Amino acid sequence: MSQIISVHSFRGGTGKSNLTANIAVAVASQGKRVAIVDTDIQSPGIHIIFGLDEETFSYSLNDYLWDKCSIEKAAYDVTSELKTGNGSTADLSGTVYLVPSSLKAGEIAKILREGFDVGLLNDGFQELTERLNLDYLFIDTHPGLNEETLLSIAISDAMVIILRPDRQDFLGTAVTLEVAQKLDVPEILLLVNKTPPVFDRNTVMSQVSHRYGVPVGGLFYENEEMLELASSGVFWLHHPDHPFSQEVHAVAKKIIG
Amino acid sequence: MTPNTPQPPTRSIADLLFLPEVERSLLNWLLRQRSATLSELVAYLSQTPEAAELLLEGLMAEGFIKLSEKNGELSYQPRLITRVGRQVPSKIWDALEN
Repeated sequence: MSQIISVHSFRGGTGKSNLTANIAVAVASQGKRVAIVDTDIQSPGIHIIFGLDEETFSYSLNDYLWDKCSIEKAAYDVTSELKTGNGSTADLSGTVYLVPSSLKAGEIAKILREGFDVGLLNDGFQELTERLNLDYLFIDTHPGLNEETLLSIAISDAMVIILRPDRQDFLGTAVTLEVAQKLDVPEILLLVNKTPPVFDRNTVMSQVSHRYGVPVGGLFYENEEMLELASSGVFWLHHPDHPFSQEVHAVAKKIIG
Repeated sequence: MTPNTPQPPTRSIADLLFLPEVERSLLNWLLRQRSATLSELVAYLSQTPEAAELLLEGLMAEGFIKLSEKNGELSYQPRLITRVGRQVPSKIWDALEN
């Protein structure tokens, strides 16, 4: 039975797309068939992490929403694009597909100007799951709340909420949780990202968990290696022994259950 | 539908958040199912068919669901379809799209 997992943060800059890419690829490394859909139509970018650019893909989620192509035409098998730190192709036992959103200014403007049929997104998620025989579909959402984000949350089997240990993130996360609970999301997992190294792991996890009454699935520290990689790849493939990477695998195992 | 029949309002998914709990839960469930027959809805709601139909008629009148026919079978589907375009002066859009 396939699972839809939406990944959300109330505010921007939490490292949502990087964590989504890392966790999805870690799930695929367990022999799973995984797809990521970039529904962050207003500010897309996760395809950069997978080495795709506007020249390498013909169709995007925008084209599907404009009825120019089927959803699987906009899905790219990026498994062979995944590189390790020495530049060799990663040896994954599963498969990773990516449905990118367009990074062309005119196409972003067009979709904001004209709107789109949100119901088509729901159909697209289901069709993609069936036609690609997926085990997991990850939805990289736009920060904050809008229609496509609300839909993604509403149809999810599980939701991952990413926050930084920051007062503004804490308040925003409370809003997201309230919405997720109103939309009957069966399972919610909090991930604390960009934690300053001076913060104690157990104290932060305990505070966050206590504050929201929701389990904290992982805590990630800020690190220089991530800054140096600068979204040019999937971090754990480049730094497999790094504590960040170990935490990514721990979260992936929790998701697989 | 005749020209004089009032059209149900167009709903966005955000409207779902303001529904009472029973209706909201039903729509959440229907969104995940994508469509359901009356008997499936009755089973989900654990209500009599008459009570379920009354609830569904209310949601249809309010524009949240629609009734469709496929292969001779009627099914209810969510009707939360609109992401309205943004209101920005057209010269800005034109500059961006060209």
